[in-house]
Amino acid sequence: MDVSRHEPLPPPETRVPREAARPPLGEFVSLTARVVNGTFGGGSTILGVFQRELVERKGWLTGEQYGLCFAVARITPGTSILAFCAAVGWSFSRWRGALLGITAAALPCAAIAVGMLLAYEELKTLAWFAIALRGAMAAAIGVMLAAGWSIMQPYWKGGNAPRHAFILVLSIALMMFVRLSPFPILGMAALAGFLLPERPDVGGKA
Amino acid sequence: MNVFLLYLLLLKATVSAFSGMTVIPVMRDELVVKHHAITDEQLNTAIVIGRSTPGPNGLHVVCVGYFAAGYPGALAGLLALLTPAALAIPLLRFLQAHQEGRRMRSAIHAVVVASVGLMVGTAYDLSASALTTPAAWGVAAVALVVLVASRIDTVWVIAAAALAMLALSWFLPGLAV
Repeated sequence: MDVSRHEPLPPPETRVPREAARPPLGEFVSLTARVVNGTFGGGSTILGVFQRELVERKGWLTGEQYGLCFAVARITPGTSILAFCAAVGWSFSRWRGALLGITAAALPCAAIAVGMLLAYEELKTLAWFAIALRGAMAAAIGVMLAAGWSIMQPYWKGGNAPRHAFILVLSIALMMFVRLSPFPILGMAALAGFLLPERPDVGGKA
Repeated sequence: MNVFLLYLLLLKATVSAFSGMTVIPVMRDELVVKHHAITDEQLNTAIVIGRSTPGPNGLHVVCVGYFAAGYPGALAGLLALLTPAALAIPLLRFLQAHQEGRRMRSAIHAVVVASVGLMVGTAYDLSASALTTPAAWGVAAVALVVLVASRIDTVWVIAAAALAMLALSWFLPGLAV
């Protein structure tokens, strides 16, 4: 989605109203479908576009309301964008809004993904396609590591960085050398985090 | 594979992850290692297609469901992707009451960091089937550097990697095939 093609922003003093105006549900669903399914780049990119649309352009959420939905999206298990759409939809129209929000966000792009899989099934026997796919699969390894790098950035900052580095190295070791399955590793991490809370007086993510 | 079991296994992966890519270690453990429902190559293809599609990062769950059980599997994957989002609503209400919970925040941070560790371990495991030639190693390394050092969209990096491998197989077949 190219946000630069939209109409110009209103003057700054009108961007964030004190009391946000709730939208008609149809307009929220339409905006959600357009923003989520028209944006490449995943969660962070889409949340950035949503901030611009929901708070600055439409005024449907105040900055504080957006911040709360953003925080909820970050701590909800699963895909953060879908949690964000559920939280925003619930804020507007309770369960009906939440259900329509996640459906508008997920259904069109899931259909696109299945369409691409069907094309893959047709093409995979062609020699040139198999070679190109090997390149894409090699890149996928880079994509995973780059995503990990990006996720870790806020956790390298501040006084809790050594603690985060320790958790990172320990989880890698438990998976690669002890061959522990992911679920108990995540469970132990959650328990350790809860029982030994981070220092509150440091910068960064903590 | 039984579609309900597939839904539960994919749900286990989605509820234990806090970003799209971090579902992969649990999915691989359940569907590749334990149940042999898909192969590493199919998992890797699912990641490629999921990342090449607009929208949220977790769409590879739908692709994995399709590889495991066809269209019903894709539907199971979609439902497994959607279900955890419902947790956002009680969390929204809970957060409004406990926004400054330090222990809760610490637990979430620890899970996110551990998830990244699991991603590194999974990337290592997947590399056995994806990085079989010197050219593949080179492509993976260049993709990693480009993605870390620039804001280029992932889909263009994946497309460029596919074209690069085609070009290498043409000009330097000894390295790429």
